[in-house]
This record gives sequence, structure tokens and C-alpha cells, in this order.
Amino acid sequence: MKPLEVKKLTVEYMMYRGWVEVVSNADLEINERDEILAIVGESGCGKTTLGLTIAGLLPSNARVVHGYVKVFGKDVNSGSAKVAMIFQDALTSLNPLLTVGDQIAEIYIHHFAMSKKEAFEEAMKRLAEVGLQASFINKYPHELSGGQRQRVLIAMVIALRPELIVADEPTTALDVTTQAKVLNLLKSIVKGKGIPMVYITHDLALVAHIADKIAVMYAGQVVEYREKLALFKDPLHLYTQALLSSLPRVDVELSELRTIRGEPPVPGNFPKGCRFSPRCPKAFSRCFVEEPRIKNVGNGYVRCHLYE
Amino acid sequence: MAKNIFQYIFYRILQSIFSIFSAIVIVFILSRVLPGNPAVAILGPKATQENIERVTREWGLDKSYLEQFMIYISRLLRGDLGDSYIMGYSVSRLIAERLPASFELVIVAFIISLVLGISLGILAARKHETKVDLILTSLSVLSFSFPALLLGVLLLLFFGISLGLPVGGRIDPKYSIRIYTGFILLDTLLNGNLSAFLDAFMRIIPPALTLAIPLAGLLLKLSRNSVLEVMTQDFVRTAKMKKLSEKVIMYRHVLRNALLPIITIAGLYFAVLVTGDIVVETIFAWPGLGRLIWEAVTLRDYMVIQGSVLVVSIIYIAVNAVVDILYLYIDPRIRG
Amino acid sequence: MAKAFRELLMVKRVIYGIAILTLLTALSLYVILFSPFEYDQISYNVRLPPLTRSDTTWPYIFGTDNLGRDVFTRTFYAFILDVSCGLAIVTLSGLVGLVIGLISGYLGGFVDLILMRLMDIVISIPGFMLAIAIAAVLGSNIVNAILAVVIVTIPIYARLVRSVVLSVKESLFVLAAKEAGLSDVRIVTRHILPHAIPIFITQATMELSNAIIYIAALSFIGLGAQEPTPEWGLMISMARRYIREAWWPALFPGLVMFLTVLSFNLIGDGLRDYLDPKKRLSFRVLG
Repeated sequence: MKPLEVKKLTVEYMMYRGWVEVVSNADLEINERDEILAIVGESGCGKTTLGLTIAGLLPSNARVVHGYVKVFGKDVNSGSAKVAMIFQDALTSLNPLLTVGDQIAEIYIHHFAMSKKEAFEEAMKRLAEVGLQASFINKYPHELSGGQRQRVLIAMVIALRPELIVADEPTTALDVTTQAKVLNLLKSIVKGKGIPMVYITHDLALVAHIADKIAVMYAGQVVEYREKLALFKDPLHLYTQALLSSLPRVDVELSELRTIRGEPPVPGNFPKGCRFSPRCPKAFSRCFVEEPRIKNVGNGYVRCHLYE
Repeated sequence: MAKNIFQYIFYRILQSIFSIFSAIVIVFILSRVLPGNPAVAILGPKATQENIERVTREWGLDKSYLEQFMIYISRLLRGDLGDSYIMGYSVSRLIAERLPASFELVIVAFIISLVLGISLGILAARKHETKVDLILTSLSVLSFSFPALLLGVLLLLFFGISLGLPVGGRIDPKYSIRIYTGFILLDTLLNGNLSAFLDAFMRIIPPALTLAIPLAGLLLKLSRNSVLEVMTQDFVRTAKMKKLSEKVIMYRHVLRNALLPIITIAGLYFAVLVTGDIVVETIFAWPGLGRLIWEAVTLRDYMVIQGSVLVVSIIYIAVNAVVDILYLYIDPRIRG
Repeated sequence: MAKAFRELLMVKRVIYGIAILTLLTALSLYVILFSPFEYDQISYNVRLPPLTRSDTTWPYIFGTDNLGRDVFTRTFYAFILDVSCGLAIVTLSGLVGLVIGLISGYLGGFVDLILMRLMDIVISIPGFMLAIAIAAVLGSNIVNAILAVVIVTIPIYARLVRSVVLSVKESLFVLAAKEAGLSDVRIVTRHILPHAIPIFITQATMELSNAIIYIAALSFIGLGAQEPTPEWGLMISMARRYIREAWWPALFPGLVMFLTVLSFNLIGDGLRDYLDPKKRLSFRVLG
């Protein structure tokens, strides 16, 4: 049973003008228990929505139009799949009126029928696991730093004993050193406990550190899905290439950073044909008319007319 | 701004003292702005030469305003609000006698409105955008618009005439009850007199409802809006992610955060209750402070009017201060 | 502006409110023009129940009171009176409060301190209580009652306007206007005032219903309108004494008063919701 199977997933949101497609025909999978799949893309590409769908946390103004998400063979909406999610803004994601201990212990009280005493003891163990002192158990979220809050969220996620973890840009708001610590913590959880993870981010450089497989998203579609090394060595999709080339590099002299001209399209206003075509340096006539289909490449695929 | 909680409490109390002082000054100024001889105004029909001289001496009415104010304050600090020649008792005594009745009424009304308003507000929030929500929201605007003048009359007619229940006054005079607390509902129970309790209960319901319904409407709207806002916040999503039960999410996470800000405007509620209370007590012949004010106005008893206004103001200022300080303890964000 | 107005009218509550108000106003004008009874016309037909025939072209639609006066006629004369009082109160206290708020907020410093302290002093006493104290001292007539309520409600507007001024004072276009050398008065009226107006109007509309309630309550306890003036609070107060014999003189004025207050509350409520972060998005940011 695959830890994660996303097949032809299409998700819509209700906006002013009606239902708008935000994720289109996403195909993804995780094959090993200690694997990290990274989803990379700019803001607005649909990666957070995809993450929410995998976690089964779509709000009421969103709906899955077709496709499915299965975690260890179980549909995420059935309620039997155990997926935990780490959110980007740790401050607002914690209840300001409850202590850290309360918020971790309630998981044990609720799901594992522990007494308050036992639950708090377990909570302290979780705090230790994420590198926080036991004294944090009585602190309130506003008393912690950004990195500490993020670790509390991680402790909560561990306490849930999930089958899969979705992490949505957990380190974006943190400084570089804290970023590294949190990243390493997450990696150790995956490898150490054997819990697969979907890691969502816009930072391709960061992904190089922890991902095993990478899915590049653009305008609601997965445009490239490869193993990490393969992607970095030989990026196929023009968007992936552009992302990579816009990364600052120490070894190459550049007078200015290369950016991709144009703006990503807004849901509801996707261009005809290939959605990247307006910004693609190698686009040709077919690109503006026909949507490219998936072309398998090794263990992954790419969505581009150049390779069909 | 204050750096720690004790500093804040100190400043807050200081602020209250300033407010109380302001109230005293205003009441004093008003008492001396009366046209003609203040002594004559105070005495009303009892304005004999002898009484005028006595009052003038008592309050120093022949002296400068500053001296008069000093006398006024010094008497106030001793708890002496003056004497009502018209009604024949000291003002402090009159007020002290009537206060428990008003307290009881206001507290019962407040409890009813809290329970009614908040529970319906939560319901409206959960059934957001459905017919139930629409009905409840309309009800809240409607009930908030009910002036005590209409609602009181309606309930008086309904309970008194249509249902034939006893209305008016706190209890049938035929019962003799020993007073322990001043709260008739409690005292009747403490006396073991169940029929007296029921009688008192039936009499307190119509006036309490008249006060409670507008306030409940307001609370409905406030709690509904607060709950809706909190429901969209991130930590509620976290609670859903933790797959906690609906009940736990609602009570532990949503309500706790939603109802907290509603406490802060307790002062507003008090003001709303006070405004309605005088009319309600008059309509239902409820022997409280509100009715005393009405009697005093009818008799042109300025001493009682001013004393009552002052006492109510002090209570109002105190309630506001207590709520503000209490809030500090409840909200951990400020405590730290 | 016109577009905003049209959008506002789409809020159902506002429409209901305006509808009720229009209906009542029309009724009142009709009564004043065509009623065969004077508002102070005493007769021997005391305490007649509603819809009793009279020897004029109209029945006693709401019945008669203790002095044989037509309650229907009096109720709608009272509508004109009470609403006018409410408008007077809101206009007076609103304008004074507006000016105080503008000055206090814009000038800041010592002026702000003094003015706000003054406002604090006024609100140290609960509104209704202060109104009673002032009205009792000034004398029992309706003008004094209006004055009392005006004094009590000025701080509401002053604080509201002041907070708007404070929030706008440091914004770019105000600073730019200052750089350009515009006079203070110009800056305040042209650039700051427009921001305060919407909130001010919303508050004023809600305060209108409060003002009417205050006047009625003051008259009810004897401090406002005096006999034979047709005023709701006064009418109810008089009727209360014989309510067991005749409920209609106490009920109908209150009913019409309720409808009036309701309509203003609906309009104000609709206004407030309209001005709020419009059409709040429950849509999550895409990522």
C-alpha cells in the first residue's frame, strides 16, 4: 500500500464569479515510509490547496471535483486516514488562551484516553523530542519565539501519531539558523519514525536539503515530478529551469539575478493551451492551443509539448 | 503605558477615583444651579423659616462655593448624602433600603439575558447563512428595539391580565418573611416558605424579562459575530486537524476565545440596564432605586435625585473598573 | 456617491426601515391634515375601546383615553413631536461633538487633553442618570429635556470623530497637503472630514432611536413634555394609572414608538454592516 496516492485530483474554490479551478489533475505519490515529497511553486499555484486536500482540511467553500487522495489505501475524506498538518503561521495556529501543555495534552486525553496527569507527562516527552525544555509546558504561545512555536506544532503532530505529515511552508517566517534546526528536526522525524512527509514550499534551494522527490507546480498543475537528483541535474520543464537559474549561486558570476518575465496567471484566468506558454522562452504554436499531457520520464513525468 | 500588571491596576484605580470625583463635582454644580434659593428648592413644601435656616447652616449655603464644596465632600466621605425633608428620611437610608430590590431585579435580568442571548448567538453562528440564522438575527434587532415603555406595558398586560398572575411589587404583603439577604428570592427559600417563593418568583419575571429582552438581543448579535470571527481563525483549523470532537472544538477553542471580548463591554450592559430600570420599576411598582428616583422627580425632591444619581454613578464606575481589572487576569496575553 | 447609495439600498434591512418610516410619516401627516379631533380635545367619551364609532367621520381607531381624547390622533402627533426632538438632539449634539472631535483630534496636545478630559467628566455618569439630573435642575419641559440629552450624548460623537481623525492624521495625503501649504481648515474639511462622515452618519442614525427613547423616558417620569402635549412617554405614564380599565391608551403609543425606533435601528444597522469590511471573504489565500 502506497503511503500517498494522489490521482487526477482537481479542486475548485467558490469565488465571486462562481466555482474556480485551483488544482488541476494532480498526480503524485509517495512510495516509501521514510520519503519526503516536496511540492514547489510560487504563491497562488495551488500548492497549499493541494496540501489541505491531502490533509482532509478543505474549507467549506472548496470542493474536490474529481480524483482522489489515498493514504495507505484509505481515502482522506473517509476519516480513517490519519494525516497531520503543520501550518505556516505558528502564532495564529495556536490557541492564544491555552498553554502549550494544554494544547499537546488534549490530543492524548481525547484520542488515547489518558488521564490529565499521563497526558501531560507524554506532552513533556514530546517537548523534549523537539528540543524544548519541560518548563515550556506552562507557557502561552505569545511567550515563545517563532521557532519555538513551530516546534510546538511539530510536537503536536508527533503526538497525533499520524500516517502522513503535510508541512506547509513551516520555516518561511523563520530566520536562517532556526530554519535549519526545524528542517533537521522534521527530517529526523521522517527518517527516524518512518512517517512520510509532504513538504510544501516556494524555496527550491531549501528543497535540495530535505526532499527525496520533487513536484513542481505552476498554475494549479504539476508540471514536473522527478527524483531530486534527477531534477537538479537535468531539469526538463522550462519553468523548473527558470526556477533553478534564478537561484543565487556562489560559483557563477552573474551581473544580476535572472528572473522569469511575466506573472503567474490567476485562477479563473488560466491561458489556453499550456498554462506556462505566455512566459515560456521555447513556446511554439502548439503550446498556445493544446494542453500538454503527462510524459513519463524515468520514475517521474513532465508536462510539456517539447517532450511528447 | 504601564509595564506590569500592578502598575496597570494602580492607574486604573486612579482613573476611577478621577471619574468618581468628576461625578461628585457635576452633581454638586447641578445642585447649586437650581434657580432661586437652594434651601427652598430642597425643602419643597416644608420650607419653613426654621427649616431654611437649618439647611443653610448644614450645607453652608451662605458661604463661598468652595467652602460649600468642602462641606459637601466631607459629608459624602462620611456616607452622608443629606436628608430628604420631603420624604422624611436621610437620603442614604432611603437608597440603602431600595438598593437590594434593584440589585435583585438587575441581576436576575442580566442572568436571563446572558443565557438567552449568548446561547442563541452561538446557535446563530453555527447555523450561519441558514434560515435559523436569519430569523435569529432579525429577532435580535427586533428585541433590541423594544423600549421598556412598550415591553413593560405589554408584559404587564399579558402576565397580569391575560394570565391573571400576580404582578407589581416584589411579593404579596400577606407573607411575612424574615429578611436575611435582602434578596426576596433567597429569603423566601431560607424561610422555607415555598408559596411565598413562587409568588415572589412570578412577580419578578415580567420586569426582569422587560429588562432582559433588549439586552439579550444585543448579546445575541455580539456573540454571534464574535463566534463567527473566531471560527475562521487558524487555531480552529489546527483543532480540526487534531481531529478533536465538534463539542471540544466549540467549547474549548471557539467559545473561550469568542466570549472573552464580550466581557469587556460589561460597562455598556450596565448602562443599558440602568436606563431601562427606572421605567421598569415604575411600571411594575417595583420598590427599588429606580422607583425611588421616579418618586423623587414627582415630588421634586432634589436631595434624593442627586443622591441617587451619585450612588448609581459610583456603582457604574466601580463595575467598569472591576471588569477591566478582572479581564487582565483572564487574558494570558496581557498577564504576561 | 450615488452608486454607494444604490448599493446601500440593496441591504434589505435599510429598505424595511425606510419603508416603515415612510409609512408612519405619511400616516402622521394624514392625521394632522384630516383628523377630526384635536390632540388636546377633551370629551365625555372617556376610555372607549379601539374602533368605537364616534360622531365624526372617523371612529376612535385606538380608542380614547381618560380625558376622552382620541388616542390615534395623539399617537401620531406624538410621532411628529418625538421624531423632531430626536432629530434636534442628534443634529445639535452631533454637530458639537463633530467639531470637538475634529479640533481635538487634529490639534492634539493641550487642547486635546482638556477637551477629552471634559468628555471623560461628562461620561463618568451614566447617560440617563445625568440627563435626569440636568433635566430636574433645569425645569420640567421638553426643551430642557432636549438640552439634557444633547449634553449627555455629545461625548459619543466627539470620541468617535476624534479616533477617526487620529487614524487619518498621519496618512500620506494629509502630510502632502500640509507640505503643499494648505491651511488647516482646508485640510480638515477637505481631507479628514470625508473619512469621518460615514461612521458619523451611522452612529447618528442609531443615536436617533436612542434620543427618542430618552425623551420618552424623561417625559414618562415627569421631566420632559407636560400635559397636554402629545408625547409617547407622557401618554403612557398617564395611561398607566388606569391600565386595568383601559389598556389601549398605554399600549398603542408604545407600539408606534417601537416601530419608529425599530425603523431607525434597521437603517443604522444596515448602514453599519454596509460600511464594514464589505462582503467579507471566507476564501482562503491560494498557495
